[in-house]
Amino acid sequence: MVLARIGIFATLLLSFASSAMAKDFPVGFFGPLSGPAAAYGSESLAGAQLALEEINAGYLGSDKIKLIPADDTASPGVAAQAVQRMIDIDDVVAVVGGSTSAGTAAAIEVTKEAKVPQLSPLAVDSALTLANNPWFARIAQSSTTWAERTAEWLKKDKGAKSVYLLVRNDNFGIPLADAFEKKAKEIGLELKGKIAYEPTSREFRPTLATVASAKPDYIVLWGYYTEAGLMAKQMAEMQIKFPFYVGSAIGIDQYREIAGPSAEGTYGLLYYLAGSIETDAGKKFVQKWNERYHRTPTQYEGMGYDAMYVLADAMKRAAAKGGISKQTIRDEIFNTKAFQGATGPITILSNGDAQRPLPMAELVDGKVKLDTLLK
Amino acid sequence: MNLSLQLLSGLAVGCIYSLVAVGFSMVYRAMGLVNFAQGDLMMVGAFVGYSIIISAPALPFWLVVPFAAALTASLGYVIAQSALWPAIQRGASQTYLVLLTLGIGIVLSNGARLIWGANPRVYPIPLTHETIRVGQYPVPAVYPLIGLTMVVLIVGLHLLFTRTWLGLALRAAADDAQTASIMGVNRRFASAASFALASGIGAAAGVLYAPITFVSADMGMLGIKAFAAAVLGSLGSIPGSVIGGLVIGIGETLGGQLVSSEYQDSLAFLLMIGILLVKPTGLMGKRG
Repeated sequence: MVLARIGIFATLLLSFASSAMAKDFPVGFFGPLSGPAAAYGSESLAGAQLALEEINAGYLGSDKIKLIPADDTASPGVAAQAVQRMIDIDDVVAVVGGSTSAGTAAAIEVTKEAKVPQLSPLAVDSALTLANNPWFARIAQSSTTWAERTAEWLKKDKGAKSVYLLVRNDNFGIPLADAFEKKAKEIGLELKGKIAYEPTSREFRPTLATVASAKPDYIVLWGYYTEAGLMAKQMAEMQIKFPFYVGSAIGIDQYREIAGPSAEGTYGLLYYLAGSIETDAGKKFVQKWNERYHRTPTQYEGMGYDAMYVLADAMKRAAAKGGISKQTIRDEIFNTKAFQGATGPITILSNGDAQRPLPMAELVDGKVKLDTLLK
Repeated sequence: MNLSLQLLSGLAVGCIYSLVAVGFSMVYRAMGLVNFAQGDLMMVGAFVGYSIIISAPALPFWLVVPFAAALTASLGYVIAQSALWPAIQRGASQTYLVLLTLGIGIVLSNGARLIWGANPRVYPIPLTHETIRVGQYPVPAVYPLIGLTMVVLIVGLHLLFTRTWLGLALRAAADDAQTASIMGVNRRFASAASFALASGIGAAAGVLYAPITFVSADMGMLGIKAFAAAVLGSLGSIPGSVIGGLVIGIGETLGGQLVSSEYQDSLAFLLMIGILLVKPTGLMGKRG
């Protein structure tokens, strides 16, 4: 009887001790959840939240991640303030974000100063990793990689001889266009012209008329999906028929709605295309998303999901090596090698850039179809 | 690409600028204030049109325009009565009134984002993607409707202001509020009615512009060009606003084609500055 009581007491003590050791680690998330770029932030947050459910069901043992989301409205100033607040008030151990290059660039200054690891799911601007900031990494490829792969694909896979560049005149479009132009020169792809348009433009007819008169093999756009949609629509209205490359816009519903039937046959390079990753992790993610939402995940949802998992994996390895802290999470994020993510194997390079497959796609019968998976 | 096609496109966009600019001028004449919420009222009208199309898909598009205009005009009436008139009555300065209209614009923009969401909305009607042939040129099918609405609205406004008691009362209150008041015109009602009318015209422009592009909470930015059009034509003059809108619409499209498409948006303002340097009172302004 006495022994039984001692046994019960010991069990209770052990379970109390184990629950007392289990910790909730606050992690910040920021991105545009409202405004014209809301799709980038809200969709990557939705992906991160699904990953979080799985992670908190035992991926980190008894430890859990507590997500603290913030809307940066795609404004760099708001992004910096939101991240500062997460660090000062919530004492986050890491930050997942941002979803635009401008917002990410502003937040980097805050996380670097506070020595908090930051992992972006979507920011592509090459300048973000040029400074070798030890506290910043991303799972999206840099704009240089996007632009170079596109130039190579056009030249080698499509046999294009010439292109005309249309560029959003901001820190999203210009770095992509510069990298594309450099690569095009290198591989002998003729640049028939380049027009940098104002980000507020909605009327592209004069621009498109200029492009059409140059008769390029392909028109390449580095801009947002709204502009891509309007350009495709206005080209169709003007009966301009050239193959049109629209970047990641091809995977966004609103692009297809704005462009209407003229979206058919356009090309684009995506962060991720559901069904293009044949690994177990890739298949499991699509299946789970389908069961939950009765549709396939979007590119941003996939990236949000993987960003959260890359962070959790780094935390898991940090815990196994002795303990989770801002410093050990940072170290393990940079030690990520061929992590089997839903969007493909992910490796974080020493400057914070990522290696991942990139799906080149075409819009066929209203559906985004894989053209080539660029490794 | 043929310049005639660009001219047609410039005319269509110019008509949209003109309609919004007419709203600027009407409010300026009636209330003596520059209503920087005019572009946002156009945006609200476009969103109201979207909701009408979604809730009554069988309704012909040409009927969506007056319905959206009437609903937005009601909103304009409420804004004028509840926010603007009390400020005017307390003798608020021009600076305060301009800031007030800017604030109303921000509230409208954020309110629209809250109601209709952050993503752009596309009118789910065939007209959005249809083209017709004008001579040998393919143009969006909504262009003739834009031109027709513009003519109907301008003729309607002319008849309203010259043949109806309401129109004459509005003009009287705008020209000499004190005397009109003595003659029995309710100044508060006249101001609110003008503001409502301007909101309704802006909404019509928004509904007609939506099939060319899409509807989004930041659509009110177009109001800046419309303001330039109103100033160019002489702020307060309705014919001036119409001409100003067309000059800017055609000027930026042809300028974008002939000069540089990279600076297409800046051309509207260059045009305004150039014309005002030569004629500081605007195209329809009188000296002195």
